[in-house]
Amino acid sequence: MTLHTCRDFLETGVTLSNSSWVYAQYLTAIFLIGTLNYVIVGQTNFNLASATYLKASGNTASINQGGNDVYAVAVPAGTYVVSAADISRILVLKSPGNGMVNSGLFRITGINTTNNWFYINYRSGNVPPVESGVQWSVYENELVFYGNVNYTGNGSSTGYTGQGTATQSRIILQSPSSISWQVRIAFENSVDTGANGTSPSSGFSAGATMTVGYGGTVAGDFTPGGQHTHGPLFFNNRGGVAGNYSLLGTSVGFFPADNQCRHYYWGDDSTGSFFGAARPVVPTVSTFSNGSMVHFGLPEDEELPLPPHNAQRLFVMGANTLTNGGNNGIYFQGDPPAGRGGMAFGLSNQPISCIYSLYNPLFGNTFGGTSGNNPARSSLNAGDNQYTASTELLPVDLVAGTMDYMNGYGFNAEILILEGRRLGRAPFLRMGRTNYGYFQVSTDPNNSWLHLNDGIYLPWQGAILP
Amino acid sequence: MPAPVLNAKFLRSFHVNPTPGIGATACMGWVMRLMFEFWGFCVNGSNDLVNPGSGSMATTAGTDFMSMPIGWASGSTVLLATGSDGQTTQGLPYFQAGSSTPFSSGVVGKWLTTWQSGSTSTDDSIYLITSWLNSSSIVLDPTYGGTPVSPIGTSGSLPQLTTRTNINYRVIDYQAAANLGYANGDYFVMQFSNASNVNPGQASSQARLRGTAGQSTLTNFGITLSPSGSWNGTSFTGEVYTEVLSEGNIAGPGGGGHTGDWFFDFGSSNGYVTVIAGPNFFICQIGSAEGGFQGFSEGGGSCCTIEIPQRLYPQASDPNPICCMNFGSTGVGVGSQVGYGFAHRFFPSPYDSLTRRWPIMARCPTGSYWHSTPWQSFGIQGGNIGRWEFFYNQPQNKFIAGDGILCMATLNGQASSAGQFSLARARVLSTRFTSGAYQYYLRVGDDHDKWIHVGGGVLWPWDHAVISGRPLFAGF
Repeated sequence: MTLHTCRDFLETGVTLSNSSWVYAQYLTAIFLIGTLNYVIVGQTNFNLASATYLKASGNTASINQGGNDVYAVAVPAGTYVVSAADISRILVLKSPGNGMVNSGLFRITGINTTNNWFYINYRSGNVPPVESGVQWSVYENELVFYGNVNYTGNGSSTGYTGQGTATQSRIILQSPSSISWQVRIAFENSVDTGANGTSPSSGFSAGATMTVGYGGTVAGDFTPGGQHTHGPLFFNNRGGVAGNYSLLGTSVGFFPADNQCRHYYWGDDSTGSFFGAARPVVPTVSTFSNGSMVHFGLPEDEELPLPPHNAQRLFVMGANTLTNGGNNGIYFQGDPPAGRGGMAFGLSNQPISCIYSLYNPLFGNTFGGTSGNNPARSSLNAGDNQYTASTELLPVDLVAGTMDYMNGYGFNAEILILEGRRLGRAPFLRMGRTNYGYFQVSTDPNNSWLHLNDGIYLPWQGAILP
Repeated sequence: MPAPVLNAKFLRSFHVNPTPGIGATACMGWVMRLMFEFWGFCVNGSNDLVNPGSGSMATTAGTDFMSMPIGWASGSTVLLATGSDGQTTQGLPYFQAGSSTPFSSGVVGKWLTTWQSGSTSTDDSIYLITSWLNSSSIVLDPTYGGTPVSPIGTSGSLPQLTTRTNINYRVIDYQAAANLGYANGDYFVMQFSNASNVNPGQASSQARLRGTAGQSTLTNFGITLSPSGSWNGTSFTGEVYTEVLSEGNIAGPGGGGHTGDWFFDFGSSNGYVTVIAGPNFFICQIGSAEGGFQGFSEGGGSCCTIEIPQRLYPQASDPNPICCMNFGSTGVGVGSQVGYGFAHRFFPSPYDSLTRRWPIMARCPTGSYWHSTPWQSFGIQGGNIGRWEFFYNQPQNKFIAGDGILCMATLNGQASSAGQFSLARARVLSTRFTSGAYQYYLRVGDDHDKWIHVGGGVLWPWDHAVISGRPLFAGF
């Protein structure tokens, strides 16, 4: 496993009225392709291989040209000649030896035509390690994608309409994993979501979803009844019509609020597992409520024996409703109405729930000295551990099949099969105390961990911008 | 995380049928004598037929590991016979001395301790002698110990004796031991000499088990832990950890909850004692299935657990972890707002010599904390989730059962210390947790990872044995 991170990519746009949830799909997709080596299986109006988006790519870039040009990335002129048109585009890098710092998405801020260099916004107080042999690709900026994306669709009034000939943008990528699992990134049809003028609560999902599974088509779809984690597509029923809300929340995605966001991504180029977080530049709801996170792939330390089908090993966690306007925040999964959820694929060969299973006291309502159900990580008096003189981090398990509904409609929405099963350990992620600083790195010499929010910690290296 | 190999042995629902009027004091003596016998011989016995196995007790010389009435351990009225030529045959209830004639007809109704040094067989246990055949042969009730025949469905899970020879054995009269004159404070000190097998470098930690005054003489029970194993023959040296007395006044699922005492001093009644122990843990549970509050209390069993938990911090900062829980006449439950019951362990701190309650955390199978909304009208208390199917996987025919870790965050109503926040100091090995809505006595697991539900979502090590005719975990 080699871990690659995108450390703090800043969206273009304005702070309080952006389209982060649209950008998030694009930025995630080009990170998966450009850094983790995912390949395109099929798409509709999401053709990232086209010249509209992909301007150039290669394998021999070098970063840090020394002197005053430490943030310059050189690419061979024989492959691509830099130009002023590249400014504001996105340089996607895959570092051969410094994946935690030199990989990821970088805004092109300038060029040097003499040396065929891109100047990039490195988004760190650190100087990039000098490195050559870097895999690179130049993608059009996210505003171009926003201008082309189709998220109104042409769905009909029955079934899950966002498939087949539907026109909303979607793409299926195949991971670099040896078991070749796939992920679908889809803007959900307005008929399905109930967005675009209809009450969001009548829809089934966030405005865009990410689905893991097998059997992607050239149109960028998984199939009804196929091996994947998208409830409405599997059952071919958007399930958001009046009187039937059962499928609400059974598909999840990356759905930050419409504020300008900073993007932090983690990915393993061998398993393809991915964690993405979008952090609002200026939160409008509360300090921690905006933004979003998504997490999908193959668990670590999988439970043995492995299940009969590889799809039954996959998971996806993220935002699962429109109901809170995209303010899903960066939190461990809460109660079903919280707007966050997870899905996996069951031994019953249907989509089932998936949750982060955290260590909690065997009785509730006790930690933190306040009312409410405060888990141990939220103890108000939490601090560094006396035994280790550090902030204690615990691995997090993924457990599937222990929730039979994923929304606020309770027993009226029980549709998922209960078949509780530990999948394995959540990749990259650790649980720690929640009162560590918001997006604050650990204080060890290597700044080895980043606390996002709610006790969610991920590997890090080096300084972080405030 | 792989399941621990506990090498558990079992004394299954030992039936105490005392002479009327024996009283709570004798009941305590009876139970402590059982603890001594099972730990010293069945779990840790060597080939010494008189003294407990080497290292099982905190002795520095002779019998200075205990303060008990004269004759309590091996007096002639208590220890009736011994030998090392025992033989048993698979599936048969007979116990035969190979070359000696140790048994008189008077052993009927007494109890036979059997063990082989170093054995992990669950045949090593204590058995009721049901019949006398001749001076070399007796009949046992194998269900007190024994080994269930597998697979289930062929001959059930009825514990049976297996074929063994050269079995060490002792015939004990527990009634005689119970009737000795006890005093408040009588004790013995057990030792975990295999602790380093759990945590490299760990000392042989010790625990003093003591009958103490409660409502009456010797009705309460206390445990004093010694992480470093510092017993000097009369006291622990260099360590002053508070004795853990039994907690009570907590209503468990069985409806009990009278006092914190282990016994009531209202005469005598049929009692049942189950001991589950391995080299690094010791569980003892007692109770009665009868009405009234007589000695063994109905509707509220008493229980203690002592164990070497798995260390999760560096050895230098936590060299000798040992923890316990102890409650009296309360039944079983994981929850209360202040951490009583099975939801905690008492755990000495190496930093300030205090023994505090450390809440047990288990992985929540339904998310990041114990939710209320997914169950609506169903009550929820920690793992005591009303809908058991959340924990069951039908395609796998498998249950979710989580391990427990000991944490010390600041907890309402409990003593804690600033600067000692700890999320996961040690992993509890002898208990697991699942849905409290499961039926009592539900047996789960396979291979060496087998457990039984004792109520409230609490799982204890088990071996799929089924007991009939005696209440298991009476009072829970």
